Amino acid sequence: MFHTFKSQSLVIAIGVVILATATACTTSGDELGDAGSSMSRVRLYDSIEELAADSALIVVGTVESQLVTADIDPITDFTLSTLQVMAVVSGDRSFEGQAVTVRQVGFKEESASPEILDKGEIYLLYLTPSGLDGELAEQYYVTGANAGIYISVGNDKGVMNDERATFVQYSPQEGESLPSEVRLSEAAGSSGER
Amino acid sequence: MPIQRANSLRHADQGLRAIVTPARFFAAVIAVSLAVLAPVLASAPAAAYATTGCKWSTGSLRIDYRYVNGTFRDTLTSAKTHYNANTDVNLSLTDSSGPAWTAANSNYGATGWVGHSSWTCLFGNTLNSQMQLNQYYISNTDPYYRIRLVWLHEMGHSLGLAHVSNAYRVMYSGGTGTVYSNGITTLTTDDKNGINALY
Repeated sequence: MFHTFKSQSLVIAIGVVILATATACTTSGDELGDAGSSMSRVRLYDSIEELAADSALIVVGTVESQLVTADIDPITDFTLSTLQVMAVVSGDRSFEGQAVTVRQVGFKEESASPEILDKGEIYLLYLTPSGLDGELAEQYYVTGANAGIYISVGNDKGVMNDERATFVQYSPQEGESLPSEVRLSEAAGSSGER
Repeated sequence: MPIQRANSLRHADQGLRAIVTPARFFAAVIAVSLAVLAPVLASAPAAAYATTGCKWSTGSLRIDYRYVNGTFRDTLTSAKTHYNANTDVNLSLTDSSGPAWTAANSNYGATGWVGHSSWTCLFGNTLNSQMQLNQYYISNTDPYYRIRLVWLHEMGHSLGLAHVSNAYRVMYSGGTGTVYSNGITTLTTDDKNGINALY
């Protein structure tokens, strides 16, 4: 009798799991997010070569400080990250050891913008001149919105200049065909400068 | 109870256990569960839209468009009217601060995006949303319906729609430029169904 009771309990449990799974499937389009953001991208990239070709500057650096500002209109916040350049992969070599300001729309605390760079982290960044006027002209955007962000994972800080250093894609985008991981030696594409 | 009667009941119970093994019992229950669920699953339409998991508590919403100007203002007005005419939401535009949904257009520079939207929500209820069109990539001289399409896309996000992989839908993930090139300038049935499922 006890054996039968155990069997029935197990069967009921299985039935409940099946029903719960079926219910979840009917609402599979939903996500339980607290915030989000979306960009209607100008271009999706199929290769690191394309991304590199669209980038005036490719650097490895660490985010030293950040500032949130609404410097274009009163309702649009931008995060300005000061990147201390450790290595120039492609572009103006004089940036090595210098600081570059990288602009991104949104800010981290908003949590609607998870692609905002993290202070203290080391990144391989594909950058495009901001195209803005005045003092903002000196700043850069990440090429392809967030496509050009690769983060250092597991690299020793001392080998950031080493071509074996690897970087992981920070914000994969549906429909884009960029590699999930890039070695520094491959970062500039087949016609790289390094 | 006489001993003979007790023995016959015990034999019957043992015989039943021999026929209905746990494995067979599980299989039977799973089969019954699937049989019950099959019509439900079959009747559930394949959603050709996706949602963000956030939606406003009401479909009657105001958008602060103080920072929208020129053709961008005209096209946002048209996009709002298009949503009202084709879905169950009731949107209005205002030149005063207050609404938690704001819109703007400006030259934001070489951001890599022509349109941007963001939102925050709590337990699935949208608290606020912002959307921007970037004049670095799209200008007053671009076709009216091209600009309106970007608004339709960003408004879709603010209302709770996520990207889809079909390049013939307003909410296509690959960019509104492709959608416009494909001849789509109005909300499609899938886009409308998505909004009406939310509101």
